[in-house]
Amino acid sequence: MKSFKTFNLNRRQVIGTAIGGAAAARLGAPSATFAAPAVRFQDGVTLEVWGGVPAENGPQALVDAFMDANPGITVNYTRYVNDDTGNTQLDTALQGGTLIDLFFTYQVSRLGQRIGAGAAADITQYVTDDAEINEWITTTDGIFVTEEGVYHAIPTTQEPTFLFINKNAFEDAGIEIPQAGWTIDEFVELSREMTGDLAFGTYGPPNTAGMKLGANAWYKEGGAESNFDDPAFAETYGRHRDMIDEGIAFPWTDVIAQNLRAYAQTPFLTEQVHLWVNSPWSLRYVNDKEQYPHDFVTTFAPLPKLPDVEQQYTGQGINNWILMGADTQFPDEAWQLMRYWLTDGAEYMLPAGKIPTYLTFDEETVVAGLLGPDAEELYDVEAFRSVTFDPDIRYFTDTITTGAAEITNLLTGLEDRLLIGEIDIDQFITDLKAGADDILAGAS
Amino acid sequence: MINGKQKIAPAVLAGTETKSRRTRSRGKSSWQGYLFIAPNLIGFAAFTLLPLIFALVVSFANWDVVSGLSGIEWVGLDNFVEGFTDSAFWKAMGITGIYVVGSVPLTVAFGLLLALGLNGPTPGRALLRLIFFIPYIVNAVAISATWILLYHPRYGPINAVLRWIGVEDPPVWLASSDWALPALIIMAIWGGCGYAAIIFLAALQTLPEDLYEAADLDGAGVIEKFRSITFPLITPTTFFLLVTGFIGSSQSWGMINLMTRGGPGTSTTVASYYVYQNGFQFYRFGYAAALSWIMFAFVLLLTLGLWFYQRRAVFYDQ
Repeated sequence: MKSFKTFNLNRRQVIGTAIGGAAAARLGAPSATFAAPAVRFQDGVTLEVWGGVPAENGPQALVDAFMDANPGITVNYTRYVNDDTGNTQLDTALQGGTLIDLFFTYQVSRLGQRIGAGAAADITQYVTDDAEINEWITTTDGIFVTEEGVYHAIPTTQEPTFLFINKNAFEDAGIEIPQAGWTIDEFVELSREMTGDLAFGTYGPPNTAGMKLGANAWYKEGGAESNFDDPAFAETYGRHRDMIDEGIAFPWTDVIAQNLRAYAQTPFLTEQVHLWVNSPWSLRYVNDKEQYPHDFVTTFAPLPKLPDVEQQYTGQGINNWILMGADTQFPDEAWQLMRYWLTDGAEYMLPAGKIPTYLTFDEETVVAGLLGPDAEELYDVEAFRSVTFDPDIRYFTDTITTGAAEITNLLTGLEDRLLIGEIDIDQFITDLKAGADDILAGAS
Repeated sequence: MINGKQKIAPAVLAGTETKSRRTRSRGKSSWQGYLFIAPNLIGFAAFTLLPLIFALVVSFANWDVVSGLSGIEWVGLDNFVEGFTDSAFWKAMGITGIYVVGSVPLTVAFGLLLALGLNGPTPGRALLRLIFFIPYIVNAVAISATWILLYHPRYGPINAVLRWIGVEDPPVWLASSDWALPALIIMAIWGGCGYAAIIFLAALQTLPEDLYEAADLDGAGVIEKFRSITFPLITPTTFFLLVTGFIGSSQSWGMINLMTRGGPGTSTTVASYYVYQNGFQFYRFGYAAALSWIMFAFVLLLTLGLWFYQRRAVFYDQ
């Protein structure tokens, strides 16, 4: 059974520590040696880094800045496409003798596989020797570990989920933008009110099962059995189907026909939908006026509240895990770059929509970096600030990954059939539960 | 005899000398020959032969790539046993069968019709040939993007035409478990018939004119000439297109990955896509390799079946 651990501590405390406690670097000029322990590095060191973000979207600027600050260290960044074949390419390289000093992983299931297979170095000593990082990592929600107190991976990005809203459409309709504390029923009602002849109210509702259940929502009995008979799943998927049937959510036939499952920016930016549940990584599409010309302002709202759920989770979580290659010849230098990526260097990743998990600079820098030079024209900046730095956001990271890829595949297929009206919600839950249990039985 | 010997001897000697020179020369030329084909041979060995051997070896093991070669766990025939009892795999094989049987014969038939049309003195024949051949050489991503637009349930031109001619509730094509596979079959026919037409055209242009002249003298009509002369004489080409078509389309993966990813549900999960899922999504490379070999066995059997059938049905001009 593939089961791992995370530390789940109070997020409010973490954000408070990170924002309030961390020394803010000067805007636009992060210090490459921020609180770094004094280490004498070897000369002529070359570090190989593999990541999924295109070099020009931030990583190249980051490694350039690191090299400027650390003469004698050369860093080569290799981009791998974060899909099935790209990940296999990385895995083959990791096991095939290609020298990789640092690499990124974006799915928890792959994280568990890679650490379990010995592809990542144990960085516990570096973490514990570094007071600041140690304090941060031991007080942050959802840090992935295979064993308590043993670290292999550090999350560099936080990805809260919130609502992207077409502000102009709401103003034209005379409807108020939802505020913190609004409910899931109000979300459905707003979608209904915002539906018109040319647009659907929403692309789709938030995943309330994930928001309610948090980590390991798919599993019970430690991963021996699936949890899809929990009423939260019937509720979230049933709500989506009902909204499509009523014509207030974007038709799933269009989602399938246009291959929009992963990237659904087009319906929002062409004003086919007015409410869109998503994460900061999608800001880059709103920023791209050339590719996605639009003349409305995007505003934001936090996820709606669920009834009877005291502390709900955000839909996404912390991500973009950086790991040190097990065979690195330069662990000190690799750790230094790893640390830089987590701290000051994170500023260079802002244009790619990556909110740092460890904030060494102020909110203004984060907001300016994420929203780009046309922020005032494209966004309601204050609304963005409030949803991004909402102290109530709770992150989670799954710790059980048994059969995760197979269950994802099963879920995607059944979700398609449910949302295009080929099966009803009862059939969906029955098939999902039975199929997932079969997968788990086979995996054990 | 002596004279004879004297006469023969130089020839024998010369022959011996020539043979020896030829042997040396053959040794040299074969060495040079191997050198010339070396790039291809090395490429074949590195990118086809070795992976094939490795796929065979790993089909007897559980292997997730991530664990490296040391993570290979030998399981004997377990993967093959699982493959033969895996209902999802056999469902995928069934879908493959429908896809192959639905697309290949029609592709060949439409290709033949096109070729017959283009074989006569059609104005702009060269341009038309080029147009029909274009789908075969255009990038699959561009083709997929175009067809995704064509098949769009609400705004696609295909449904616009269907509504215009009175179909009130046209199919939603790729967004329907019932219609996604037929949609892919239509695409496959469109993409392949130009190639089939070019091959048929080449065959048609080699047919002997005298047979048609004789048929004209006998008063045979167009259909009779096609049935008695054209079709029998192009059966080798038809057989070639059918066999390569069956083999090729049974391995279809790219278009399916780009357009439907095996869905909705599992309605377009053909066997090769199922193999891909097991390998690259589920990291069960050993099982995926075993399924590939089972698929290979089926395609081989099918090809052999066609091969034996062609002995009776295909006419080879001696």
